[in-house]
Amino acid sequence: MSPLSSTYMRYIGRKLIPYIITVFVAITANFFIPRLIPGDPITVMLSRMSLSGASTADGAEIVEAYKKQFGLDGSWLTQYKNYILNLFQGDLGPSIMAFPMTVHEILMTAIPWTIGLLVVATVISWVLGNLLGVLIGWRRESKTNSVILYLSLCLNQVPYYFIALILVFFLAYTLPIFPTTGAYSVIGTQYEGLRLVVDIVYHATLPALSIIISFIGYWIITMRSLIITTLGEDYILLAEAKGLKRSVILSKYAFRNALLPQTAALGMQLGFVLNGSILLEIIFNYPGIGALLFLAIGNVDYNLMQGILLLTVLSVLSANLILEMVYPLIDPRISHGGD
Amino acid sequence: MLNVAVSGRDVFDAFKGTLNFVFRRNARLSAGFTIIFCLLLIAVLAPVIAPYDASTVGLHLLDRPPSFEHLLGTDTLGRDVFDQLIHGLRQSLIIGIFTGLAGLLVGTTVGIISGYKGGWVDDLLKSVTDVFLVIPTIPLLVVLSAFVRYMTVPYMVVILAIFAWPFPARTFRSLVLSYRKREYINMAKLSGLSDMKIVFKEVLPNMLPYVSTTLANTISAAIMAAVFLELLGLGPQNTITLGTMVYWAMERAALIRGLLWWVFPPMIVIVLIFIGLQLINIGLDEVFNPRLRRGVTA
Repeated sequence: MSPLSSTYMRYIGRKLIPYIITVFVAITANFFIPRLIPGDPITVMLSRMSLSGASTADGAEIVEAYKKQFGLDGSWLTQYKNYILNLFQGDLGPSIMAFPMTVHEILMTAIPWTIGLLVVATVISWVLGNLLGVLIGWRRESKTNSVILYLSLCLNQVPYYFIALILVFFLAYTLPIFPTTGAYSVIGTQYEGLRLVVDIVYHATLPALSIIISFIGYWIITMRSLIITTLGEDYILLAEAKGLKRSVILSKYAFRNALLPQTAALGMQLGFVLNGSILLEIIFNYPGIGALLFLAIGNVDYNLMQGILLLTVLSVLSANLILEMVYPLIDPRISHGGD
Repeated sequence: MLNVAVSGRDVFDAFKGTLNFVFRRNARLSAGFTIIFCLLLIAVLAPVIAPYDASTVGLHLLDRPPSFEHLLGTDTLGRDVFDQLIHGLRQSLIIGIFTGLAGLLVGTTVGIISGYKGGWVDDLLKSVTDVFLVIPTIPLLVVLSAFVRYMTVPYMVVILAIFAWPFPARTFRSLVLSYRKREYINMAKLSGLSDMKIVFKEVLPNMLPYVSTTLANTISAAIMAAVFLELLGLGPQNTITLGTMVYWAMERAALIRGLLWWVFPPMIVIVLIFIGLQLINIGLDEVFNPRLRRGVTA
């Protein structure tokens, strides 16, 4: 199917509508759900100010002024209207807990850390897992390979945060090799250039390892069963009958066909990267989006929560949408009628 | 060709027969069932096995390593870890099972109505399900749990159930769609059976195997999500669960102080639950989908 053909356009059009609806529902939910949390941000902020010794004289007046400042005056309906209008102009509003920074600025400081850590770790585990999966799917009879299979089946059931805790125990406490907190050394010397890169990689090792170890099992299992299913197909039989070498059959026929669904799954997984990082970033005190969301909840920062939720929704939805758009172009078997 | 009418009773008998057969043949299914059955037994018998008050602080000496008196030692708050583990398991399983059942019930109902009715009902239910399927649930779960000021087990079940139903709904919708066109359903319609009767007597019994795998899946997902929230400190405040045990251990820096008997037992039990459910799932899949069996067992 060519990307410009009218059937393809109609296919995209039909796929796009549910996405638009979902985005709108999600945006609305993002507005209302944070407002369900008990306590309002201004009170939290003022009480914190008075705790730190600032004099907060005219209570009511200050509260009003702040509410105006952060767009929290008026009814929920007017606030909602303003929120939608600002959103369409790309304005996420000011952060309440870190005023005068805007939500946009704060997000920009956190996104690179999360994406850098999780995308790299996810891709590494994908590559390793698929290679191992092919290997054990190909030589099914071998004893070592079934050991690998059972190990991955078990590993697949251990949540990443448990692996993180175990790694911290062994590689940071018992053998103090790796640091447990932060994304770079703060105390003492400020590194620059190559040393900074090394420092960042060093700090990212444990969190990245926990992601790699916990997801590798999934990729091994799925790749293995894909290879096995493909090897059972008739065209493989034909290829064997033609006298092709087993290695050629594996790399040119089985592996290629299995790679497509695996790439799609990787795409989905990457869309969920912002979603699943909360506990990891909290365990390792990593300055990413997940830890930021937790901070925002603790400080009842509506605007920041909305921004982060929007970001996670959009990344998941765009990963989905991109896959749906690309898939029929690569795989002609995907029918574009019905569902 | 017309099929001979199969009643729900027949299908159920066949199902029971298969189960008997399978237990003798499929090692994974039996292993999974054994693990889950033992854990359930411990959870049910918790008041007998560990009759002491697990959550009261300061009953015992602090930070004692495992001994005959305290099988898994005591924690920094002077509680017996073994007692906590037994009661925590009970609460965690309660959360998992009730959420799983709620998700399954709502999901199956939505899925069956959606698939069976078709038309605008299907359009509506399918869009709602799709929205829930793509929305990232974890941040929403965190925000929703923060909204509940005093978290208890029932609240937790309700919050988790909000996100537990879409997967079953999608599965059962497509299943019903594939059944709707079958001859015996047409026969049932022609003979004037009501929709309710067709669903309960003809459609549902055919889906029993899927019901059991879906239930294992939803329970597993529910426990996973519950542990996640508990580790963030958003778990039930009035009871001990496996996740809150790990949370308190982390909170009191148990790992760095070497109180391994406090951190690892709840983690091991949680993973054991997941592995048990996963084995059941793979086993059921292999049994009901013989094509897979060739692939997975080798």
